[in-house]
Amino acid sequence: MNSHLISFQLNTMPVSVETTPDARLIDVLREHFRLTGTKEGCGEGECGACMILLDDRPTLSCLVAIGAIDGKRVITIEGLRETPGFAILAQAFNDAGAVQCGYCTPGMIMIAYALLRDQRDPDESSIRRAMAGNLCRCTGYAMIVEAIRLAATRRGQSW
Amino acid sequence: MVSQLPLHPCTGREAAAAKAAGAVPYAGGTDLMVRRAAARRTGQEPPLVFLDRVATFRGITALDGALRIGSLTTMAELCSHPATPGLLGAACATVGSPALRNAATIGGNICTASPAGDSLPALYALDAEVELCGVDTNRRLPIDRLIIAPGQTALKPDELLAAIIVSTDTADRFYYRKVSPRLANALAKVSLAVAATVHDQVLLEMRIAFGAVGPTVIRCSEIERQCRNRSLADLAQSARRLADLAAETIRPIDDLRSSAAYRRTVAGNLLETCLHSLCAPTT
Repeated sequence: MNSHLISFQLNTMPVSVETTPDARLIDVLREHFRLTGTKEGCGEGECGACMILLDDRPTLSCLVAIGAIDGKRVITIEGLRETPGFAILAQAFNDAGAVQCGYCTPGMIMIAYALLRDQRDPDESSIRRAMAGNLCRCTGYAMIVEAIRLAATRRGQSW
Repeated sequence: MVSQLPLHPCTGREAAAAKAAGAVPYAGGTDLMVRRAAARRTGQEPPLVFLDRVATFRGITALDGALRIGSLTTMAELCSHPATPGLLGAACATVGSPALRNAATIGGNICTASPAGDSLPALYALDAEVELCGVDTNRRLPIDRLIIAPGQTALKPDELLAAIIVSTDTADRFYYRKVSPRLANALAKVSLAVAATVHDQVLLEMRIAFGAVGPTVIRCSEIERQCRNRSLADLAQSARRLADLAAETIRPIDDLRSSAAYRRTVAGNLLETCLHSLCAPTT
C-alpha cells in the first residue's frame, strides 16, 4: 500500500505520520512515537494489553489500522498518566497488590479508567464484566478487582 | 492506478467503486486486521478503503414499522440503542469483549459470513433484509440469500453492505443463548435465536435459527410450521419431541471448538429449554 499522511490527536496534541494506512496503530504508537507503555500481548484482540482510548472508548490498538483514526483522538497510558484519575488508580493498584509482572497493567488501568468514568460506583460483577477482555496470567484477577473497587472509593471528583 | 483510489470515500458509490477496483473494505477492522497480519509482512496485499465517512452506512433510523441499521453500527452502539430489537441486542452483547464491541460492526459480522457469527442467528430469526450499495445499483436481499457459504456472500465485486432492515412490530418474545467455553472472547459452539409472537396463550408464529451447526445459519421451517397456532400448554408438552426434531435438522461438524455429537445434543437441549421458557406463564 502507498504511504499517506495520517493526522490525529495523540494525548491531546495534534500529530501527523506518513505511513501505509494499513499499519497497525500499536506499531505506530510504539515504533514511530516511542510510546511503549501500550503493550502487545496476543496481537489478535484477545488479551487487552494494547488497549487505548479512541474517541474516549476503550479500543484494541492491535486491531486498528492507522488509516481508520485519521481525524480522531487517541489517549495512551502515557496520556492518562497526566490525569488525577491515573494517580488514584496507580495508588490503588499498588495498595491492592494488583501488579505482578505488570504486562497487562496498562490495559487494566485503561479499562478501569473508562469504567469509573462511566459508572460512579461499579459493583464487583460490573467490574468483572468490564475487564472480561483483559487477560492477566499472574494475579488471578482478585487483586485487580479489589484495586478498582478501592479506586472507586477514593476517586472523589477526580474524573 | 491503485494510488488513485480514495482512502476515505464519503459516498457509498465512491466506496463501491474503490472495492470494484480492488481495495478491501475496512469497517471495524477486528477480523480483517487479524487475517491481514501475515500478508502485511509480504507487502503484497491489496490496499484498504476506509468506510467510516460514508454517512449512508451509519446510524440507526426508524422507518415505518422497521428499523434501518447502518452497516457501520458497532456492536456496542446496537447493545445500548433503545430501538434495537431485544433479540439482536442480546446476540450482539455476546460478541468478543467490551473493547472489541466498541470497534466491531454489524456489517462486518455479516460480511465475514462465519458460521459462528454471533449476530447472524438473531438476524435470521428476525427475517432481516440487507440493503446493498453498488456503483450504479442498489438492491435488497433477505439475509439468508446474502450469506451463501462459510466466508462467502452474494455481494458482487462492486457491492457493499449499506444497511440491515429489521421489522419492529412482529415478535414480542425472544430467546437467545450462545454456548461457548467462556463468556468473553470465545466463538460459539452452538447458538440459538428464537423470535415468537404469542397472543392469548396461543403461539401465532415462531422463527427458529441455529448458529455454528451448519455451513450457514439454519432456520427450522418444519418445526416452526408445527408450532404455529398451538396453545403454549400444548407446546410445552411437545418440547422434547420438537427438540429431537431440531437435532435432526441441523448439520453440525467436528472441529477444533467442539464435536458434532456435542453440538447435536446441546442444540436439542437449547430448543427444549427455549420452548419451556417461552411457554412459561408471564406476569
